Amino acid sequence: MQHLNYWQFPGFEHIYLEDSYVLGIEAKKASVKILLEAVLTEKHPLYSQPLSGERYCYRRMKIKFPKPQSYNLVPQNMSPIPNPDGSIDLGNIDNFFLANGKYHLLGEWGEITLVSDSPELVIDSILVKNGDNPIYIDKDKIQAVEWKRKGAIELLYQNDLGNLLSAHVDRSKDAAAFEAALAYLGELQGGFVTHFTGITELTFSKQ
Amino acid sequence: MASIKGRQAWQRIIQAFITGTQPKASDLKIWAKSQNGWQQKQTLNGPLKYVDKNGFTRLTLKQGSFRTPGSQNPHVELRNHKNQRIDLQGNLVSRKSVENHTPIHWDI
Repeated sequence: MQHLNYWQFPGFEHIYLEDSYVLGIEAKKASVKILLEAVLTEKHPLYSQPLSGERYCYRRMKIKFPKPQSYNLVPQNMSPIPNPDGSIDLGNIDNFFLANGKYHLLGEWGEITLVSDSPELVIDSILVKNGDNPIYIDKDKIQAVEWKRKGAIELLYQNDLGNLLSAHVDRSKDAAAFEAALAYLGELQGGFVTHFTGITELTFSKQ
Repeated sequence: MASIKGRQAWQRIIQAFITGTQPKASDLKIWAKSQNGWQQKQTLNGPLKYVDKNGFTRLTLKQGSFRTPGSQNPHVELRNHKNQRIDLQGNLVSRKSVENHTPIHWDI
């Protein structure tokens, strides 16, 4: 009988789910996704020192199960756990393993059993280059997009430290970047990748 | 109402906290067992939990893992009757905070 723990799955070697937090569960015909605030271990390429006052290095991620052939959720206690900052979560993932061709996830929120293609860990953030230092911004931290005037885009977001920052792109200065930014605002459709250069200077390029 | 054993265990937990030593997992277990309506739950290889009559996980004892630096040490996580995370003194804490991962001595 094959039994594999999650850290034996490709791509899951350097996360620690037992202290990660489930933020939501999305079940659709095409895929099942578990939204996470994931704990990264030191060998993970995105690892950085924990922020002041925090226990671990956390990143917003999703566990994606592509092409689910069967899916069963047994909710146990789906009471959201409130946090002082107003956010909620559903607790940790206590177990995640593969046995007899089925993936099993257990937590205080319940149990999921499913058959699917191999799970993937998807990073839910955009790369920001601050000088030579790359940082990652969670997509859900982007709070607002404002049109300062016709032909310019102002993007407001929070960095990892919770500071509100802005990025600006102007059509008259860089038409291609402006078009790329528009595509980004169209929910990243069209294969655009966002790159920031500096903390307030924004460039977009098509990959 | 907690039993005498439960109250004594809680006194030892608080004493350990005050003196800067780590509370014992066994004392936390005794204290949790003495709480009315709390039930012990544990899945295979999962952490030891105590769940109240409303279904809220009030206490979780985690042994930790050597896979993750910082998590190799056992810790306790607590919640109040509103399902909010708290520290040993009852202060509200956020999920990612150090205070939500109070180190304990694993003796069970």
